[in-house]
Amino acid sequence: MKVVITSKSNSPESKMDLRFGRAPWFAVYNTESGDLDFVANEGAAENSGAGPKVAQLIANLGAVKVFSGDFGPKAKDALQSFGIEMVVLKDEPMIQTLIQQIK
Amino acid sequence: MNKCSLYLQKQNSTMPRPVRHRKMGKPPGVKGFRPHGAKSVQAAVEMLYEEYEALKLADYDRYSQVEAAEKMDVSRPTFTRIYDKALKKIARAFVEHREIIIKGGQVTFDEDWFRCNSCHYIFKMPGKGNNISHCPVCGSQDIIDETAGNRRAEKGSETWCVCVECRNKVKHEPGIPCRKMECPECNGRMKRLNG
Repeated sequence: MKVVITSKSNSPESKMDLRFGRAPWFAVYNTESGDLDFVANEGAAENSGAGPKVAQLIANLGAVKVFSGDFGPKAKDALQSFGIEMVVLKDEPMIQTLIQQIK
Repeated sequence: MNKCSLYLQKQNSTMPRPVRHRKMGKPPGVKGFRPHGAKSVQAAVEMLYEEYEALKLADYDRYSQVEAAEKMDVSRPTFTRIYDKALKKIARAFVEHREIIIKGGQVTFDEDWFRCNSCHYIFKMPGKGNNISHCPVCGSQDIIDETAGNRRAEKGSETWCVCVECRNKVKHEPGIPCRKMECPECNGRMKRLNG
């Protein structure tokens, strides 16, 4: 099972980014193998439609769950249509600590 | 003048229309604010959740009043009134060095916030509504509905729907008006108990 966490930078010590479409990096964690990859968000600086593009990217990665601080209305619809579970966290944990807690 | 207001005039009733629930995104992160270095302790200013939300939408998120009113699901003039109250309360707290306590008000949240008692994350899951059985982080089933806790604290206790026909009682489900419910026993009409 692949889990995506929006991230502020590309290291496990960085914090989760509270934005979804405009987060600079995405941490992709594979719960079975324990692999952690970072994918850059190329559309972070776009004027509009960053959310749905990221949703598409995450669907292509084959993730089933996304952790972030907020989802825009367009991103919400897109993720829902892909059947990806959204989790909104109130505070920003470190990627490392969050991964350790994810089962 | 419509039928309803004519009826009210005939009845010579002064009972106001019930307050429309204001929609809110997130509950505030703190319960209030305290003045720094105040010499005497004064009674606190009580700010309502809706006033906090109005201030946040207008001055922090910089929405126009029309957009903010839409977000809160109230009319534009009502939004202005709520916003105005918020400003007055803050001004009063600043000048009279009073505490601000944020609580109460007629609000509903878009989605409820949950808290996991095992890993202590506060979370919500868009698209799933409030039917969450376990924590998405650690899988623990020991989770509590934070927002419902606030709502219950406002109202004091649990509410019930009662059947008009057979007096059968069912626990009231937030979000569904009792009058739109059907009695599970006799399919009769229901209403709020003691409401």
